[in-house]
Amino acid sequence: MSRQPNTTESTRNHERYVAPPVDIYETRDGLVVLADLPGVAQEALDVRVDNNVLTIRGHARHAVPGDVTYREYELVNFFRQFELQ
Amino acid sequence: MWKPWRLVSIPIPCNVSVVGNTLSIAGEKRRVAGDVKPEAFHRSERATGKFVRHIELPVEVDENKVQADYKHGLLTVTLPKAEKAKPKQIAVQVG
Repeated sequence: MSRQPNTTESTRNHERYVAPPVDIYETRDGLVVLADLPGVAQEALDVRVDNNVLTIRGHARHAVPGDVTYREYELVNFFRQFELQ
Repeated sequence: MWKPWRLVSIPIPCNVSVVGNTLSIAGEKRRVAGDVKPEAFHRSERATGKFVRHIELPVEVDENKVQADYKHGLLTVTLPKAEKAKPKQIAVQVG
């Protein structure tokens, strides 16, 4: 299993995409991929396997009711692909 | 529709507390929820470990009405202002 060279998209819809760090471990039944995708609801997450490529894409959304007083963290969208052997 | 995958969420246990005007958040992010042997890992890129953060609050808050909500990997702490920290409308006497 190896990461594709071009996994970070920066121009799509003028939105920022970041490749999330992952853990991958093997069980008796298969592989488990763990990724932290803060701000991504289940319905905003797209996981698919196409032509032996696993694609993880997530859109982060969070509505803040009020004005921002202080900010040191901004939500990003996630995109990453893995070639399955 | 059959999918070759299923989604499992791992909650991160954490403690939220307010003492005076300091908000404290502490917890631990583990690599996996269950028991997985180190040799079973193909990749381990995620950050894990204990975390603690203390934040000075700019206004007095009502410690009894603080709420913490953890959803989609985001912790939201709502701290209502203390009654005496809220702005009060002063009626202007016109004489």
